[in-house]
Amino acid sequence: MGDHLLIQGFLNLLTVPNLTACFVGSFLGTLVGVLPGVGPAATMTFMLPLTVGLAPETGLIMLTGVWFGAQYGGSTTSILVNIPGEAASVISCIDGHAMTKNGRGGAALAMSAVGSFIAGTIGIIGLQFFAPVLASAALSFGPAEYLAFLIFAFVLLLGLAADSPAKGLLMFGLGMWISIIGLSQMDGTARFTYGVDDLMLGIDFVPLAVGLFGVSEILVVGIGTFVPPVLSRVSLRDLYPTREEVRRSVAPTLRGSIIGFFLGLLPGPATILSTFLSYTVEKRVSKTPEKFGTGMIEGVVGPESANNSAVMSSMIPLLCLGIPFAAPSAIMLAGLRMHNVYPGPLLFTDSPRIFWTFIAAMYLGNVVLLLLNLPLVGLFAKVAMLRPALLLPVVSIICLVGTYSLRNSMFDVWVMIGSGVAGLLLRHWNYPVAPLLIGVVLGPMVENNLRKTLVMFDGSLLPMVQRPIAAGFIAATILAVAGLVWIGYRRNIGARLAEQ
Amino acid sequence: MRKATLSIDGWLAILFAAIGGLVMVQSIALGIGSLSQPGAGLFPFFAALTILLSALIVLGRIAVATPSPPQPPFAAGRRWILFFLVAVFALWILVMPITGFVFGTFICVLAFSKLLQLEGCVKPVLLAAATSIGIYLLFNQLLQLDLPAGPWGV
Repeated sequence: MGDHLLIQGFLNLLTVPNLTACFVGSFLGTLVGVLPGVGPAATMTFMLPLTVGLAPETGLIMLTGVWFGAQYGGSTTSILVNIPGEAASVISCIDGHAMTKNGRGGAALAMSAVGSFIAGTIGIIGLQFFAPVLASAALSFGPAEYLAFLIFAFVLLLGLAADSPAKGLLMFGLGMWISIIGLSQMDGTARFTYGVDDLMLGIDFVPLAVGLFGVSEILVVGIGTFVPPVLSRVSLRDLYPTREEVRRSVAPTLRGSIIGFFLGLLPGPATILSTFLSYTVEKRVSKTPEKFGTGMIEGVVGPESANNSAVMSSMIPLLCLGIPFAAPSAIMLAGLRMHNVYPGPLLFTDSPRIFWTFIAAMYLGNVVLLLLNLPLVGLFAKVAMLRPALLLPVVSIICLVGTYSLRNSMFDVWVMIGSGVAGLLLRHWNYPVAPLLIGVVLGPMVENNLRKTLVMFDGSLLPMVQRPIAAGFIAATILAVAGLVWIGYRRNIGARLAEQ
Repeated sequence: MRKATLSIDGWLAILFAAIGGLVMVQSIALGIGSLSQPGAGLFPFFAALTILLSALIVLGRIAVATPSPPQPPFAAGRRWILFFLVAVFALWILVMPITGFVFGTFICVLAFSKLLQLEGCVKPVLLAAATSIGIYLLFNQLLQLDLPAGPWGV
């Protein structure tokens, strides 16, 4: 059944607008993704407005391409310029740039692109098989199970993602409060609207996301001082790896794909964690660990593969449960909702066309990126050298127009600007903005399930433990909290010893 | 004796605690109901409690932490750019409905590029013209989205 639907997905994809969207999305995603410091979340928010006027399927395909492109683009500047395009590419700087210095930068780029392609494909196959299974399991979830799962996911997210769990929790609470503003879906009560008509409909997620990630990034780059990076030239001929380099890349690609796939299922910065874990594993299994840092291809291919595989598997909780585990998936969710696609267990039964076209777009996007990245690597690297004065005005206007076009509302544009400034200040004082965004997305879901659970169990949450799935999540939450407290305690002791 | 001064980080935590407290009070006013019959204010109350408690934890951690030298907010001498960049964003909102999309965007891109120190006159003007016309064609003509039209119809 799956094969038949996947073929149908490919057939849906084979229209001129959809194919164009796939190419344009992948190209633009890579183009913006190569900019030093601009991560996938910011790239996606820059590009989100461009999909406003497109048909749902086409918009979705374009966003998928942008996401993939942003992931691929990050490695280019890491390897060639030693400036990571995004956090997940930091680790690629170590051996990737060392390979560039050794005159093997082209081979590092080529093998990381091929490794990412293989890992991406493995990730999509995993997604294609696991997602429907998990979704059918999720159909048996009631409000109590959802509530227990949301609590468990958030505890993990706080523990893994935030340097300071208290600041992460604060941002999550703030996000939940923002999500409440407007007319209550339960009884129509106006909450926290303060007599402002525009607030009756609530604060839309897209302007908030574009502001927190896109506009704040524009402001950060705008007030910074631009230092043009020194670029190493790479010609098409340099991209050919040696037979030895190919041989040494096979196992790290497979290991990275597996590590990335499983870490991608966890809440938090899975792509970043997977690159660090993959690098550690490669170093540990290597017969020459002392050579890591001097230009070992295993140190580039493994983390790059892990990164791409994690991106694919992070789609599983998003598509099956409608729950984003990280900022890029939260923005992807915003894009889906913008096109009236609501991920969750029913997506597979109610909108199979959308799901399978999405999967087909992922396969095609992966191929397109491989085709684009190798011949156009010189162009992408040059984009990283462009002055912000040329790029920022264009990107700013795209953010403004796109946000305005959502509801033809200037109020949304004010929200975008306000959240951009807030995002800049919060980032400056180390308040993580991703939990805020996730709080905004999950707020209505948490409220809905909390209310239903309380009504169902007559005001008590204790009967939740009598339901096996909910009890399992509660037990996992308790274990996770205990683990995080233990890690924090050990870290504090270590810090005190270091001080002494 | 340590001088009791509070960093901006600390003031920010106090601000968040105040927001949490205020939202709690307003949530009570909305009606918390009972646990078996939750009112419209119950969930906001929990959200506010989360904000308040975590802000107090952050504040407590700041209080016991070794004071570090104050962090300069952003690169010295470039802070004014932040103010003007935000002003240009606001200008776009205010000008566009009057002048129409193309002219309003032209002005704002010109201001953006000069703020970001794009030298000369020709480059900024060309960039502003290309951006305003290009984005108009993309959003209005290709994607069929409504953009405010000025006296010139664009």
